[in-house]
Amino acid sequence: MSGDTRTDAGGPADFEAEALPHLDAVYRFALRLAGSPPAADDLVQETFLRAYRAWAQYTPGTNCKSWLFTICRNVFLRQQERGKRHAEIVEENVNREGPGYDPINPVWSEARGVDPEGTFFRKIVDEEVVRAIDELPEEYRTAVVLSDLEGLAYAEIAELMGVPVGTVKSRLFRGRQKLQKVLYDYAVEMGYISRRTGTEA
Amino acid sequence: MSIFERIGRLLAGGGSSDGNGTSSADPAGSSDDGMISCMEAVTFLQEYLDGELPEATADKVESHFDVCARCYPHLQLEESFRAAVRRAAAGQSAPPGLKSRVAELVAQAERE
Repeated sequence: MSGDTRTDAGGPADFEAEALPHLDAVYRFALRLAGSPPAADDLVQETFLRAYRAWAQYTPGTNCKSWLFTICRNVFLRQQERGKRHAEIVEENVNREGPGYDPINPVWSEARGVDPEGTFFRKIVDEEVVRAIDELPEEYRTAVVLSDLEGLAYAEIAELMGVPVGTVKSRLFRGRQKLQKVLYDYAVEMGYISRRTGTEA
Repeated sequence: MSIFERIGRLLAGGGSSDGNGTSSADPAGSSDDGMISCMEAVTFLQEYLDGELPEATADKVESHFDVCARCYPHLQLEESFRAAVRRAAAGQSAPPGLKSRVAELVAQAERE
């Protein structure tokens, strides 16, 4: 598909060849943003429609998936604004927290002596992991999903979210720590690890 | 490298039972012998796993985790966590009908 040498970059054939193959990735991203399959379905359709209309602005040879993610997130955030959700409050909190984060992960300290290698993560069912991801504030969730699920580089995420690389790192690392804490607490609650005896269930 | 740094490094690498053990290791800047401290290694851990470090720094971080008994579990824990996240979302692809609906939507937009 990338071997297509047509020069009419705005053409529907190119859109089909370049953009449509990313449908699964865009759907996965949309699912994590919107939270439910029907909402993700709508978000994906709106994303591709807008992407098609803006196709002339896409530079061939650049990261099409990243470009689609940008559109997807913009559509989602606009919908959120319309729905008067708490996005602005979260953004404010994120900014107040500043760019720093604690390199010493609190879960390391808690897991030390009981399960320092984090084998409990393997026991947690997928649904629970997904639920924990979905409960992260959007700024953290987007950074974690784009990095850990889609393998985007910091610079790509920064461009997509319209923030400096340092902010991406801060959101990503904080998001991972929050997620790990939620999963650790869940593992304790489920008896996968025991704080008191130090033995693995 | 000062004697304090040496002691700190010995303590840090020697599997001391102390929780942090890196008090005498300077978190800023690597020393000239190519080694990095526990504090530096864990500070770089996320970027190391994300493949975002320059090769020379990544090599130093990797070497540290290879030889440091206390830091190695941190690396394993982070890897277990990432594997769980990837596994949880891996099976989620677009529903079968969505691609054709999107294609139809695009075709319709083209006609307009």
